[in-house]
Amino acid sequence: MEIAVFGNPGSGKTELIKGLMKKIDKGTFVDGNVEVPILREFFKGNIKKKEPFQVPAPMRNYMVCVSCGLCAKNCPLGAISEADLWIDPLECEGCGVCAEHCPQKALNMMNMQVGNIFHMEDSQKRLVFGKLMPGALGGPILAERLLDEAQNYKDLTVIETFGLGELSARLITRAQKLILMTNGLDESILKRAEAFFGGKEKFLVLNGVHGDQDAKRTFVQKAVDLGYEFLSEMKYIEDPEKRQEAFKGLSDMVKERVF
Amino acid sequence: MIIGILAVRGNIGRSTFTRSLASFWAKREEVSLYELDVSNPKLISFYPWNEKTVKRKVSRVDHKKCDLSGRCFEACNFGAILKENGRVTRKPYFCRGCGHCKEVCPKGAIYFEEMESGQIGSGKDGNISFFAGRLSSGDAWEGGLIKEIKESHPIEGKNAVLKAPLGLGAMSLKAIKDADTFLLVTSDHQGVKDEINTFGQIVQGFDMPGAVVFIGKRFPEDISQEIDGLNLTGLFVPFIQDLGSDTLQEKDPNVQEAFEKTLRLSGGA
Ligand code: SF4
Ligand code: SF4
Ligand code: SF4
Repeated sequence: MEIAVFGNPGSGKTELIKGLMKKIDKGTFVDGNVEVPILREFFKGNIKKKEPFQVPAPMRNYMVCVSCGLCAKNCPLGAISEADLWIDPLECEGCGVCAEHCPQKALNMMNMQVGNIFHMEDSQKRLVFGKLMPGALGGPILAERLLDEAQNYKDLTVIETFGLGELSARLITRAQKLILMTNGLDESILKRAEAFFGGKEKFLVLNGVHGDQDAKRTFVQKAVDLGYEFLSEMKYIEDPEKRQEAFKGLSDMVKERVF
Repeated sequence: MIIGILAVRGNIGRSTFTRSLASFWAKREEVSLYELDVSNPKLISFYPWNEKTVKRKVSRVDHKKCDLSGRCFEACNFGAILKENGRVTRKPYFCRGCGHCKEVCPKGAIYFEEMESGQIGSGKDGNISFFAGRLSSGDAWEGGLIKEIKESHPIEGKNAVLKAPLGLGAMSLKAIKDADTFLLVTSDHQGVKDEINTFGQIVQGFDMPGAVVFIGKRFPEDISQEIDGLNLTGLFVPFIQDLGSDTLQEKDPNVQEAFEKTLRLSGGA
């Protein structure tokens, strides 16, 4: 069973997961932020396993390259400069099309390490997280790999997603339950969740939303119409200790009604 | 001068800072502001922009021709084409449109179709030219849309502020790689030092001036030291709640010092 916590940036996903880590004795957590993973700071256990994460990248053998430029012409993403044939590592997605087109077979798709996958363990609880090298590509693929690894434990899996783009989309497409957290009333977040979440059970939490009661009611109704169960509305609490208390309460509720 | 603005955590005031910096700069000269955080483009509610819909090419499978050889999903590195329940299925929102699947398909069963990727557009507000994109709720890949914005409205040679997608990965960096100054906007939260360190490595890799904008009640000594130790500039900006559509300098003129320093980072303005 995979439960994804999804929501707009700053909506309190990390705080909820932090609370859940204390409440659950058995299960696997996945940190969807593969660039600056943060959940490890709250997880008590030790690192049990570390594996390299690799992505395919084209490497040119200059001994056989005749500078014909066909690779640059055929790269669908414009990652190869037509002027000097330099492959821009920020633009190249490693699709392999250039290698197919090289008449000299000068381009080889090689596996390049761009990060690591870590498993932490605290008796029956685990945390799977990844760390990409600064600025490296492959983040969304790494996020999916973390979920594969977590699924191997055949346990309850709780996923913290990151952002609203591809990194989170890849994880929510594979979850069975979704907890949507929001700090605003922009309905595009509901649409986004609908587009990618394939499971059935959806839950909604409002956290520190400004706006009048009517606007909130309309938003919640929209969500309920889409099949969400409304869990709770949390007020913005400035004091960190009181806020932590509030999230403890939310964690209890999530454990009871979602798990 | 082109300033690229990164952040890892959301809801800490990056949009407000970005807007305020652009207004400050625009008092002196024409500035272009790019909202490239296309999956969460908060700035579009503050500027006028006329949007137009952008489509991108994604692969499709002709099931009449497909013989389930499986070559396509072996060739696809993005999980956009896969075999599920004895049939080839698609996740078009992950497709890069690269065409590798088509190239390897022995039956010619793959063709391309356009899918709505989002809206891009531009507008003008006094001295600020605004450019932005908003990813459609049905698309997941930010890269295509970001490229579209930059190709329609080239950045080169302008005075520009670029707001990157959230994070410090390739997507965020490629959005702002035209910049000659990088800023990281952050606040006091767990993991902030790791964030600053990662940013430091990026700045070093690009060999460019970098600054950390710390938004908070105060500037903690240990964080300020961390920033100095990485040869980055530390800039403190007080946190102001419920700003609405005001700029920071309207509430607290002292922040102008941070903007002034930002504009001096690469010797501009
Ligand atoms: S297609 Fe091959 S031979 Fe031609 S320039 Fe590219 S790498 Fe060199
Ligand atoms: S692997 Fe794909 S994206 Fe990278 S350079 Fe080759 S064709 Fe371009
Ligand atoms: S076009 Fe490229 S990304 Fe899209 S399905 Fe084919 S191989 Fe995958």
